[in-house]
Amino acid sequence: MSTLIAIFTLALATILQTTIFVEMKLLQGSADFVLLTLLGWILHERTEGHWQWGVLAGLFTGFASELPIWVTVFGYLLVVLAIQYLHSKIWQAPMVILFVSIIVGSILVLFLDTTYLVVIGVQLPFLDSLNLVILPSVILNMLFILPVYALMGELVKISYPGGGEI
Amino acid sequence: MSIKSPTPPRNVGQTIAIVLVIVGILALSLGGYLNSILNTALEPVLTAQQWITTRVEVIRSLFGTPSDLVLLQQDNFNLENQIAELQSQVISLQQQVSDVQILSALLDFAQKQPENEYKAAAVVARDPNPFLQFVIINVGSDNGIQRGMPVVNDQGLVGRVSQVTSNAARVQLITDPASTVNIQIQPSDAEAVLSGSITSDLSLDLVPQNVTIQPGDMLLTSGLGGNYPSSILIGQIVSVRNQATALFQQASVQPIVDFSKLEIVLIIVNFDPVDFTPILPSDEVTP
Repeated sequence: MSTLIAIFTLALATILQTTIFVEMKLLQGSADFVLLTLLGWILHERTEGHWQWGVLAGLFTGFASELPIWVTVFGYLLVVLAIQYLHSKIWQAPMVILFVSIIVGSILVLFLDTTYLVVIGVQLPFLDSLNLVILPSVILNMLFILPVYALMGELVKISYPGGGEI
Repeated sequence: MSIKSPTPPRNVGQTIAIVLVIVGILALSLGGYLNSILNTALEPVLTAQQWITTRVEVIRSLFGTPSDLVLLQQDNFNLENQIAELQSQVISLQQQVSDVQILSALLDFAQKQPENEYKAAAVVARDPNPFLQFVIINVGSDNGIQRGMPVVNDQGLVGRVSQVTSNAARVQLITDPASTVNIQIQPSDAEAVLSGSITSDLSLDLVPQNVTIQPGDMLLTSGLGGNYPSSILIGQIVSVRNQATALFQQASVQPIVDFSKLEIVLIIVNFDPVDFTPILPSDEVTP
C-alpha cells in the first residue's frame, strides 16, 4: 500500500518539480519538491516504507535528471538514513526536527550532486555553488516544508485512518 | 292654411359658423400658432399620466417580481456561462496566437537557412537539478532525433541533444556548466571557446592576447570540433577581462536566446556530429 502511494505521489511530485518548482528560482537555487514530499511522508509517525520511498524518489528524479540514477537514489537513501537518525535524537520537538531534517536533507543531496559533478570534471566553483545554489535552495525548501508537510499529513490521514501524529 | 319652409335659415348659419371655426382652428394649428396653448393645456395632463403610470408600474412589478426574478436569475446564469466560455476561448486563442507567432518566427529562421533540415519540438520539462541546465523536448528517436544533434530557435543556438528515448529527448543548453562551444568572433574572425556556468552566464575563454575583442562583438559557431554546424548566432560580448600577465583574454557573453522562455525549438536533423573518439589515444579519452 505504502509503495503504491509512493509511486503515485512521487511521480506527481517529479512532474511538478520539472515543470513548476524548477522555474521558481531564488538566485540559481530551486526547491526540491521530491525531497519535500519524501520528508513530508517519513516525518509522520505512523508511516512506513521509508526506504522504498527513498528509492522511488531517487528513481523518479534520476529519470528526469541528467544525473545518473545511482547518484539520486544514493542521495535520497542517505537522506532517509539521516532523518531516521535525527528522528531518534530530536523526537520531542516536531517543528525542530522538521526544519533540521529539511536543512540536513537539502545539504546532503546538493553536496552529493556537487561532488559527483566535480568528479566528472564539471567546473563548479565551491563558493558560487554554495552561495548561488545550495543556500538559496535550502531556504526555498525551508519555506515550502510546512505546507508540504501539512499536505502530506492529509495523505497520511487518508492512508492510515484513525491515528495520531508526531 | 299656411305653408312652413323645410329648413330654417338659423341652422345653416350655425353650420357655416362651426365650419369656419373648425377651419380657423385647423389653420391656426397648421400654422403653429396653437402650440404654446396646447403645450400649456397638455402639461398637467402629461404630468398626471406620468404619475399614474409610475404607480401602476410599481404595483405591477410588485405582483410580477417573483416570475421576473426567476427569469432574470436564469438569464444571469446563462450570461455568466457564456462569459466563462468566451473567456476560455479568449485564453485559448491568445495561446494559439502566441504559438503561431513562435512557429512563424521559426519558419522564417528555417527558410533563411535552407541547407538545414529541421524538426520542431516543444519544451516540456526542465532538469530538476539546480546545477544543470537541461530541458526535455517532446520528440525522440521515433521522430529521427539522435544524440548530438544541434538545437536552435529563431534567435540562435540553444544547445545539443544529449540523450534520446523513443518519444522524448534531453537537450543540454549552452548555458550548462559542462557545455563548451567552439566559436568565432565577428568581426575579428578570432576563434575561442564558450563555456556555460552554474549562474547560466556564458563566458568566453582561450582568446589569444593578440586578438582585439570588444563589447558588442558577435559570436557565431565556428564548426570546429564537429559538434555544431558553423555560423549559428550565439550572442554578443558584454565585457572583456584582459590581464597583461594572463595567456588568454576572457569575456562575458550575453546569449541571444532567452533561455528562461524556451517553448518551441528546432532540431537540425541533417547534421551528423563528428565523433573523434576512435582517433584519440585511449588514455586521453575523457568520460
